[in-house]
Amino acid sequence: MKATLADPKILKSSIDAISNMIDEAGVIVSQEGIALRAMDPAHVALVDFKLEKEAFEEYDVNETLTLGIDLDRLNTILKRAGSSDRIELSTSDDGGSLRITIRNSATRRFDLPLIDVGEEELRVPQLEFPAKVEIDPKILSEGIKDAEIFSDHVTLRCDAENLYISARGDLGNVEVKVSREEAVSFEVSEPCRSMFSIEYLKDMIKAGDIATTVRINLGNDIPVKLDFLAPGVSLSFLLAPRVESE
Amino acid sequence: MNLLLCKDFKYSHDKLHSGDGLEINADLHIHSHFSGATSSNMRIATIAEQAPLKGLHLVGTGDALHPAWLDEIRSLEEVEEGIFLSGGTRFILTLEVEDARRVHHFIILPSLSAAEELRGRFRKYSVDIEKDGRPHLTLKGEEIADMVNDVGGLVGPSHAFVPWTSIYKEYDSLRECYGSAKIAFLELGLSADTELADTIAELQDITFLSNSDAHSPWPNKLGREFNRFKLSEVSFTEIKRALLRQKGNRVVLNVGFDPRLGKYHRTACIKCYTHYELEDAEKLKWRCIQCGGRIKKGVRDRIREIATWDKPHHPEHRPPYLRIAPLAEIIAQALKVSNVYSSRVQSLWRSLVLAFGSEIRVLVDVDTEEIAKVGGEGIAELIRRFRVQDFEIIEGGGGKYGEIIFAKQAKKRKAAKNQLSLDNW
Repeated sequence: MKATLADPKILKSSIDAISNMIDEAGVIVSQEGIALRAMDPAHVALVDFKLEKEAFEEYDVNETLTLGIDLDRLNTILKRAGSSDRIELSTSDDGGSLRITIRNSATRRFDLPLIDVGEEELRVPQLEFPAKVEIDPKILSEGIKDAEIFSDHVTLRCDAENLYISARGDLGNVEVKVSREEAVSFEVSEPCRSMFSIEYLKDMIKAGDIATTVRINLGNDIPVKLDFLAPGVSLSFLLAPRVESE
Repeated sequence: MNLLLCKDFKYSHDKLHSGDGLEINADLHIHSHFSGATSSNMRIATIAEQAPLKGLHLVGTGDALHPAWLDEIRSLEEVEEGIFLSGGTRFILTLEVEDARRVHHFIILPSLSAAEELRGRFRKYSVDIEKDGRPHLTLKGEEIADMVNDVGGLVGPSHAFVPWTSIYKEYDSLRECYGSAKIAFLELGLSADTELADTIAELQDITFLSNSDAHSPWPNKLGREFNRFKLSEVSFTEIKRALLRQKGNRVVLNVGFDPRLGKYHRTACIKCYTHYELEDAEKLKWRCIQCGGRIKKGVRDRIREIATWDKPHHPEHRPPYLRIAPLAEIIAQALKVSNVYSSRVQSLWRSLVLAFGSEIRVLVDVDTEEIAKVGGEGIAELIRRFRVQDFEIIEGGGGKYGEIIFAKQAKKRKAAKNQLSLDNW
């Protein structure tokens, strides 16, 4: 296999967001593109990542491979790439490593040994979301940072007119309101609310760098699904709620 | 108290022969494949093969009244009366029964003839004694204890504090259950240890047992709790003397879970596992506010209800309690995989155990630099941290085992109080 990215930002930001939650995963490389689906060890968050072949400047894959990747180490390597560098992904000659070649004024080659990630069955929850609101990722990112001033958890709430991002704490409260008009798209069939860990959400919103919009799929006390949408890439996170008994 | 070791104790697996006797590791309470909800691998040959890998020398047969299981036991070499040998592992006749009030009692028997005699006496009080390895009896605890004592056996409460089938879920004292009948020991169960049990005055004179109650033979179950006995030889009589602390025989060490890892340690919902304080559960009439499921009282809270003292009063005879966790779970953490049965975890577990002799040696004794040479730096580091208690525990409750969490995940989960899992959907 050989796949070259002219803009490393998509891969860097995606792996940065994912590797904070998931330490290792089986990355599937096929003729359609590169895909990864994994759950964090606590089974609180699930990530579903696809980088389609169209996102690559060059994409030469003839067979489907599953590469066991230590995402922490991959993230460390990708952080060494600058914004004007080109990243080339291939397998080493012996097939035992993922080779990451960073090209600019010099050619830097990293070999990351592949690992056995086992074959644990991943059960993906099947959910119906009564609210689907698409907004600028910066709004979500800022809303979560606002909420963190007062709490370690945030409530996402929707009614027929608005999406609310709010938090309550001993030292104060905060609410961010995004109206139907301010959203890119707004479909809410019934009012709903759920509460989530800010620590997990902070990792997820790092993916906002790659996306033009984020679709928030929300229900009542069920997991939230965040779809970061950009041409050639699909990055979704499913996050289990926290219970509101404090 | 040290999380790993109570009192000063250096585990020494190699020296089975101490100065004036024999020290053996024994897991007395298991179940065969003839009990409900057990692995089909719970067969003598498999158990005998797995026990030494864990570091066990003596294992209870479990289910010693079941006719077909007794036939399997009879086929073994009987090296002492009531002691059977398979591979290098010795077996002693043990069983568990359930009484009329769903209290479980653990029994150790001296001989096959005693087992036959006890089965004959129990038969008219049970409809499933020929079928189930752990039969239900329409007898009271006192009646069961009397019959066991009559045949020369030893009896005591199984997993004494668990909320479903234990003596203290049903009674507030031993006497309420056993009357004047003699009992020889009390089994702590996975969710309790000597720190908790020694807050109860009536247990001061009783020897505690720590057994696995394993339903599968793999080393994250078999021997997950065990006892170290000091004996002159491996025989029923010597075990009896140890439990009664006679002629210098005794239990010198209880080994088991940190009780916070037990699946009934905290009061919690049995459906979504949300933890509750006892007073909150009572206010909610034992219904979960999150999912409507039933809240089950945890061992910690039950012991607090019946405790005589806030702090443990360890009697002079009480041995140290060594807290361990299954090595496979530590390996899984090191490899950052959630499945302890994955091929990577099992392969590494086998390499370590084969290199150093037993799981206990890897967990407790072997220099971590040596472990690193076989298992890699990641494993060695987590074992080092396990030994010095550098980890956090997510407490068990409601039927869900607790978890040991190291570093990165610990940071994340610490912030996630009241966090539900995607497994709920």
